[in-house]
Amino acid sequence: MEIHFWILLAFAGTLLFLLSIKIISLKRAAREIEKGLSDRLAEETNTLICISSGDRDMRALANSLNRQLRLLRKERRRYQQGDAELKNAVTNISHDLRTPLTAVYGYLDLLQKETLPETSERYVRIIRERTERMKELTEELFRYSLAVTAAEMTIEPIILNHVLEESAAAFYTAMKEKGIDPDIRLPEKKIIRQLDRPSVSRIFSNLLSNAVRHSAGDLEITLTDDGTVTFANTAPNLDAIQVGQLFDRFYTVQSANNSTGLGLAIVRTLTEQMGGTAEAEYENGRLRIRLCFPENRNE
Amino acid sequence: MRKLLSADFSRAFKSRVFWISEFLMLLCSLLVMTMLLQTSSEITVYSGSLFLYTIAAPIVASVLVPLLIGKETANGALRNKLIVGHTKSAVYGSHLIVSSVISLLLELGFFLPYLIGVLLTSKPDHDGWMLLLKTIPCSFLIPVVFSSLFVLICLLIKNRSLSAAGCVLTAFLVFFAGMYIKIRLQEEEFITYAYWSMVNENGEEIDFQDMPESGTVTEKRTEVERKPNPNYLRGTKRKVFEFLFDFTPGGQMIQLSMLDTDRLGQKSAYSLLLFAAVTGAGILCFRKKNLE
Amino acid sequence: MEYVLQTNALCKNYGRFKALSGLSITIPKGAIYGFVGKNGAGKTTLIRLICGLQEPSSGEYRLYGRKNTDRQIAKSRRRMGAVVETPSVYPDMTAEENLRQQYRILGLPSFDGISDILRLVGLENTGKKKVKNFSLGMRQRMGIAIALAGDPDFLVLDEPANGLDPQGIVEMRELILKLNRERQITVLISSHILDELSKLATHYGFIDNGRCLKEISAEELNAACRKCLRVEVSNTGALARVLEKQGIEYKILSDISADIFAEISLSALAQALAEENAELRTAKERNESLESYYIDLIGGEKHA
Repeated sequence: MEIHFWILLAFAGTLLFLLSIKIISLKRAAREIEKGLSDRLAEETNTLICISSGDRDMRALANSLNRQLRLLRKERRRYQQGDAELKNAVTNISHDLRTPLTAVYGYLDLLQKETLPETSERYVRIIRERTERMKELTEELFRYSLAVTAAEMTIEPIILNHVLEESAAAFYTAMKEKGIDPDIRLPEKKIIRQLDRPSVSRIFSNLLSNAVRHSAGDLEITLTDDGTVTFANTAPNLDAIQVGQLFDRFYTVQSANNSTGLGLAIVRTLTEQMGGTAEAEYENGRLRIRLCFPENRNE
Repeated sequence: MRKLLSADFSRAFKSRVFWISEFLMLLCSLLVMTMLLQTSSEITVYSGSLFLYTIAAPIVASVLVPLLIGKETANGALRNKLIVGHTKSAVYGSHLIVSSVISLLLELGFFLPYLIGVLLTSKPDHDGWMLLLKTIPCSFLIPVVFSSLFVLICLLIKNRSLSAAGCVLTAFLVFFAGMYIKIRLQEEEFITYAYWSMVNENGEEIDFQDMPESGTVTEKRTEVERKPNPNYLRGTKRKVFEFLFDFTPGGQMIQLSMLDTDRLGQKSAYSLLLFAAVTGAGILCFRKKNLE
Repeated sequence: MEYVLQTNALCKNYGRFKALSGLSITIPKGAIYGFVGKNGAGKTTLIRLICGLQEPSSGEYRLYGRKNTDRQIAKSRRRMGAVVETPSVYPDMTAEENLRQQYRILGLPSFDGISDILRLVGLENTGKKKVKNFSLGMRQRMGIAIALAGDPDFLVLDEPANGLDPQGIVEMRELILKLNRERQITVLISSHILDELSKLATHYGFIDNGRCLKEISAEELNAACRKCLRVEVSNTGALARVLEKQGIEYKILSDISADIFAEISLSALAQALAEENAELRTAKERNESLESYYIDLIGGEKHA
């Protein structure tokens, strides 16, 4: 009889052992799926969830999640593409609207120079007002496209010295190829302002890229204690009028290099959105672009 | 490592050679049983013929394991595992487990039909069964130790034919080593030169032709010379040979076929030790190896 | 800027042979990085190192920010797919079975995506054909299919155009571009065929003798590749005299043709040549090709 008891005990023991293995394996699979899902939602990746367990139900769960992940990614990509296309379209349209508007202004000017009967003069005035309004709307459209591109700004303390250095470093090769030897002057003190880092990077890279494209061979970048960033370079091909219009949305000096000319306009808009100012001046053949980031930002 | 195991097992069980080998083991088992039944009416549960599987399984495995692993190393499919993040140790471990399981399955392919034969033909033999149960762990470990050797050879040698040859050679070498040890241990301590003669009642030697009509005649053995056998192992040498006889899988398989069941626990421990040592060395070398 | 791969002074020695001596490259996310070097420069060695097949003798690399000695490196590797030298396949299995095997190795819960991958690489009609009976081009595609099994974010291709016919090369190029565009897969291609790379790459890394000579983006390369004017004249000697007087850089190619590396007025040139009793026959603008840039780079290094 004793042997039967032992056999029964061994049998029960093995059963218990197998069951506990199964439970552990299920828990492990659940953990893997949870970790896998949270990782993949947090990071932009193509990979899908994997599990080590062979349990059919767990695998089915992972599979359903994978299917949803695939759909999610497809939708996200479609959205991103559509979004980019939309933004492109908006910026291009607001650009294209410029031309007829300028023509309208031009002819309105001519018309105003003529001697007209009173009613006609009134009509011209009204047309001019409405055209002004149209100009404002295009400006708004442009600002809208920028705002949408910039997503939300996360305001945090930014060390301007560092961002300026990083941006300059990124353009180092390009500047060297062009034979531009940049003169970068930064103060000892770290200039900290409440700004949005990606926007600041974008501003600096736009200005640098502009300098690389149009500079005659030199570039001076200065940061002063009061938070003013100046980009100065020799630009023999400009005149004062062009400089005044540089920040205007779509003004380019030479549009040979497929530049849409939006670069500097974006610079001004972004700077202003963060509570700063952007100006350009031209003196003795040198173009100077100055950005001021004041200490206190008023929301 | 579970993912690797799933992948390697699936490949092993899909392999036609594996199933053919299992079938072969089954045939062997049936063959042995038929031979036994010709001489006696029953198949005893505890007999030396049962333990033939400890010899047959490793030899068959020495062909099967390089076949399975070789396909990966030769064509670089091993790389796919490493590229997606599995460690070399995990790859080695997975191959080791799969090869060991295969060896065990080959053993069972011989063992189980034999057991069925025993149940069908023999009388209940409690002692025999008990002895069998005691030897199972030791005998099952032998092919597993062989697997560890095969896996080491296959993963460290990229060339398929070379690794296959290496495995088969290793299997036979170990087996023959075991035999050699047995033969040396069985040598007589002394070589005796003696002759046999007929002696009559009085103790006198008589010629065969002069056999008396009556009276008893006995055979007498007279030793002329007794020399110590140079081939006999003495002292430490003998101890070493005895140790190796217990330690090596070759020695163990010979002992089992002779139904020598002493020191089973010790022998199992030796097998485990050897298994661990071979695997440890193998993993270390594999990790250092520069794969292409 | 997120970097997929950063290597830091990687060294690899085989005995006394230094395959890599201090290689440092960075691959930004979303790039198609062309790894350029002649045979034996160390391209395949680098790929073997980052795929985890071999350990570096010294130096380190980071995949998605994780160091190669990190215990969690497997998580970064999970996002990788690679075809190293010859495609790693099981020759006795069909294409689908090979993919199934890879799916098991990855631990994917079902075999759902297999037919999509086969369709993507163009192997959907192979049926029961075993891979050992595939042509070389098909085998290359099988290798890529296996690399794509885990939906990687980073694809490493070691000489993908190797052994392909012209059609195959075009298809391969289309596939790589598609993967980069649609799935934002970063691609590392090592090749010594500059022509093909120039159609694909967004970034270049030039390697020679186990070191990185230069890393440059495609835009910068285009900017740096010097534009020149290729002219055909009746007498290059006369041309040389004219250009020397003006201090303009040029290179004589033959008795009648030369490259001029400056902006020059054609009418002024023609007039100057006429004064020397020579004729300006044709003038064509040319961009320096990737090839010549590379040769200059290597040559420069030799003289340096």
